[in-house]
Amino acid sequence: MKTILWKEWRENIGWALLGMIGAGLMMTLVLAQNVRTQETIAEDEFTGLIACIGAIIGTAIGFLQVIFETRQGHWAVLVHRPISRERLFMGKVVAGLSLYFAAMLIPFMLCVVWVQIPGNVAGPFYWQMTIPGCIDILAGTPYYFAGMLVARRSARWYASRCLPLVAALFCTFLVLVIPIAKLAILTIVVFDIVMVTSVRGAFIKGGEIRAQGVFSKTSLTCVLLIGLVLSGVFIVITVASFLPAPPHTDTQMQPMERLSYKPLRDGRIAVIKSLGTERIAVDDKEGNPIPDMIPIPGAKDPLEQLTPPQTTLIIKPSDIRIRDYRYRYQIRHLRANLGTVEQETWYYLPDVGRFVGYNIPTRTLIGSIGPEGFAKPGETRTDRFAGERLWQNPEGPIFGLFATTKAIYQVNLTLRTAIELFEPEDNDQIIQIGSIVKYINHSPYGMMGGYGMGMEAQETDYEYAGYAISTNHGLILLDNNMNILARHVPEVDTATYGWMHIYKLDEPDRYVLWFNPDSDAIDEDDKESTTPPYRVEIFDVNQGLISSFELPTDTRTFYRWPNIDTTIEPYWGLISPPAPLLLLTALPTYMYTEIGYTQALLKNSLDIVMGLCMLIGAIAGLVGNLWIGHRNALAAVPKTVWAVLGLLLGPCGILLMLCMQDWPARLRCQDCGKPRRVDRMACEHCGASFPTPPTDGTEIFDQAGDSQELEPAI
Amino acid sequence: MTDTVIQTDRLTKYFGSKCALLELSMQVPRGCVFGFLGRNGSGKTTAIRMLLGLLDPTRGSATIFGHDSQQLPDNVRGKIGYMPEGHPFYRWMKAKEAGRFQSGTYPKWNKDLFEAVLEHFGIGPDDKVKNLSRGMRAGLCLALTLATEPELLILDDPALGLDPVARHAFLESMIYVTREKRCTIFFSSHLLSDVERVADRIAVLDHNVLKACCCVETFRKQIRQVILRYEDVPIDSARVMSMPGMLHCVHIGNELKLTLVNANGEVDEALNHVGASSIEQVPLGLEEAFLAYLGDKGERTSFFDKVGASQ
Amino acid sequence: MKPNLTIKTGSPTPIYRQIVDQICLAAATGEMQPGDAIPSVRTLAERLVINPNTVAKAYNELRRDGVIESQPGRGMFITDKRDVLTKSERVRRIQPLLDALAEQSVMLDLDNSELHKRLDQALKQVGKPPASGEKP
Repeated sequence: MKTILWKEWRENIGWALLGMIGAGLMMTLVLAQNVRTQETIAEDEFTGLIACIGAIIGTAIGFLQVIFETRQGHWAVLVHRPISRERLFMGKVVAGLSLYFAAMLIPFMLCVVWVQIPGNVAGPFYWQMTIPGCIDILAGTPYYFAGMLVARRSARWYASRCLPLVAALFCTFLVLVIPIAKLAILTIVVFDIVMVTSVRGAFIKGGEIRAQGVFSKTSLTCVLLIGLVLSGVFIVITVASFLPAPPHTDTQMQPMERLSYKPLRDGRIAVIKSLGTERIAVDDKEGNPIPDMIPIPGAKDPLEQLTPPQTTLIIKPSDIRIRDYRYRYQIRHLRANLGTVEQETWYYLPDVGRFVGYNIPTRTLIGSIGPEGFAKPGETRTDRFAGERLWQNPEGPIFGLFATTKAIYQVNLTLRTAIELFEPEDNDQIIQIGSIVKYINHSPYGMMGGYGMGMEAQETDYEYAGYAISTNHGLILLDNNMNILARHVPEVDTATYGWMHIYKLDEPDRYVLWFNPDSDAIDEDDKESTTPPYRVEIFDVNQGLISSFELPTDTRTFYRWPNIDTTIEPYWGLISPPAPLLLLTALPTYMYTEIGYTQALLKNSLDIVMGLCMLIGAIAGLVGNLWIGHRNALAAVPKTVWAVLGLLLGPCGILLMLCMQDWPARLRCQDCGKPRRVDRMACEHCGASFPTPPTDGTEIFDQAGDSQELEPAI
Repeated sequence: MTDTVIQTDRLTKYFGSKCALLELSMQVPRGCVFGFLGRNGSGKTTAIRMLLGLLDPTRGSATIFGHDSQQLPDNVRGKIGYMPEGHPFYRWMKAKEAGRFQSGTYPKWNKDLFEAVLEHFGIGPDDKVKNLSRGMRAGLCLALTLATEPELLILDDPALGLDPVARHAFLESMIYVTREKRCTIFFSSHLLSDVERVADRIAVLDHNVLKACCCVETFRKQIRQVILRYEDVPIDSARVMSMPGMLHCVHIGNELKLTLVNANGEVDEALNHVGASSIEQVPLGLEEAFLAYLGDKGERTSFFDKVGASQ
Repeated sequence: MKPNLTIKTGSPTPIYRQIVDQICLAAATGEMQPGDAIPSVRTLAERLVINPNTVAKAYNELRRDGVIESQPGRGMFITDKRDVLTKSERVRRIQPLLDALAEQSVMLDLDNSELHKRLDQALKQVGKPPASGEKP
């Protein structure tokens, strides 16, 4: 074993060193660039670089470690020795992984050491900042095994040989998406186990699929299936992006007439009727027309002028913006905050519960700010901001608001002071705070109209109308100085209504509370009829709830992913039947989709096309695999299993079976005349064995006695 | 009593739809030097790789020392010295590192022998494999193989591309190995003079099929060349061609040169009655016998004849 | 070391036959005297780079013909018996060579007296007259 390790290390150390130097250079370059913007080793730019380099170095080491020994003679030199192939493989993996980690970790650790030395970076250092980088380095190990598998598995280069790399790519994708570090590591470990099992099988059998164990075959099946399906989807998306975009539905081609609602400053609810993007009529809720609401080019929008100040709040307690809690999101640990102070940068450290500031030119620590004020470096303070920092710091008439789940402070970084402005009652948790505001733009073209069009930049005025805070026990309305005006517990189910608008009317102390159906509540069922309606409450600070009513939901547009403007998805069924199902059921739960579009998809008989495609795909898979099974004369059980896989996976299943099955030559049987496999002793049809090669009388064989003709030694 | 070291039973290999070896059944007794002959592409290397478990047979089986080739235990593999075709080894290694690698993975290591063979081939311990000449590299491979003191030596075309001096050294080593009575050598080669010198027995593959497996002497004896002289020039060769064991016959003027295999008294008797005025037996060397045996069957043997005919 | 054997590969004569012939000749010409030791099988095999079994085969034939004898524990030696072969056997063995000689002389158009003279000379050279002992 020692000798094997020595040989593998000695053989590949050159590549590893090359990788290490390359990785070191790239890391240094990116770090040097990012240090100027106070971003360091936990930034996406840096960890993304590590993920890329890790993938390249991992693939390279795995590939190079094996490829030179796949040539017949070299393979024999390696494996023909009194050491089992399992041990040889283990030696290779231990040596290869240690080289990989050395190549990646040494430059990374040097970067970490440099970053954590005070005076190098104008920012704090936490060991947690190294987690994303470490996980990205770990995410290179599936590439290492994929590289080995690519090199060792016997397959055609233009066909399935490189598929393991796609599977490794998928692992990286998952690691980037998964918000929890432990889960990401688990994902990598699972991928590694599957990969290493299939590589081990390929290595021990010299690359042949035949005679591999059940585990390695299953693992290889998984790896190839992931590769096949992802490649298929990728190909479809690529092809679709080159196709002319067909219309989703007829309704999208022709401007659709639709209704939308908007409260006005005077308390009326405007019912806006529009055709496409064009506003054609505005009525109030009772059906009386509101005149002069159609915009005239070159003049200010009359409807815009009647819009009250407003804010938007999340009210659902469980609706945590998980993006902010991802382990690789640096802001989870620290955050530049609350306006800019010349030459200084400030971070909030949740673990300490304080702000720390750094001088940018000297990159030195200025001090920290807690609820009790400023502390110089070296001073020990135990006061900390209570609760968890909220994901967004509110703007508004009060400068430097800082909100946690437990309190709202005004933090002035210039004066280095902190004042507590608001604290909810016991057990209340602040969900969100918003400033009720209206932007008044002096440009007739709207907010952005003045920019980029050669016109002078227009000033924006703000009409502030107090603050609103959502807690897990209801709503709190405050004035511009953070004095509580009213508390209100809305009569809505926050499971259905996840977020709301708050409009401040011209009439003193009067608000419109506008509850919106939560996206989760809609996505569970795409039918328009079951989408909950808007719930609107008119609330007065003094009189409490004045009235409440419901309005039908209008069509809203969300982001769709992947953002391709075609109706190609139903045809995914031709690649693999479950693919479009995935799109319609699994994907929208995690990815926003255009609800109207999905509905249109079902409504406009595209579901028939989709079903047809899925059916065709499934039948093709079934027939294909049955034929291959028949051709290869498989036994009943594997034949059935493959037929079912074909039915489930469609053409992908056929490709999978071709990857996983030998393709033995066939000869016509002498006895029964049917084609039979050459790799079976007995004919699968009639049980006859193969004939011995014909003789023509020119053979020379010793008689039985002659074979002992060795001379006695003298 | 001699026991069997290598045994194959209907060993067959297809690459895709192409047959590389068909139904090879043979035995190699212990202690013998076995020459494995055949033209390029006749399946020698394929057979050897299957013997060593480096390749799965399509069907059939092979055993070495009584163990199935596909599941050779480590210690059995340790008893087999194998030199693959073309003498490959890790190009980055120095000779002494190659020795270190080999000695670290084999239970037996005869350091003196290793150094002696290296010296014989003029290889210094610090020479890198990639800088060695072909003959030297072969010598290194030989040293690495011999130093593990194998009981069975399998050499795949060891003389390929070697100069006469290196080849001679190689043969000497093979003779040296047979000093150990139980050591068996199984080697493939194209060089009939080498085979004649060292082999006890030979097996001949032709078009992936085993055509002969016998002692060297038997092979030579069984192939005979006969020259029939005729008085009248138009020769009726049809009667001659239909004889059993006829390999080929060539017209040269008023002569017919016949090559026969397995000719017995009956054939001699028949030859006396084909109308030839004189019959001459031509003794054959091993190389000629081999050429005659594996050359094109039929009435012509030289493919230059066609060239000559067209000019 | 006696005898000075050389072997030729690729010739129609098998290697073991070449050894037998050369040792017989050496014994017959007196190059090797009765009682001279001949190399062991292994030594000769390694010297000539041929398979020891081939040497053993040659030695067995020589022993059968009575040209050499083995003394257990000491090795093998040339015997002093000369006419181990019957007359008819000796004639049978020489006959093909005589035929060839006759054939060649006809082909080369040598007259008979010339041929006889040359043959006598050649016989004298290999020491056909009874051994005087000191001839090289």
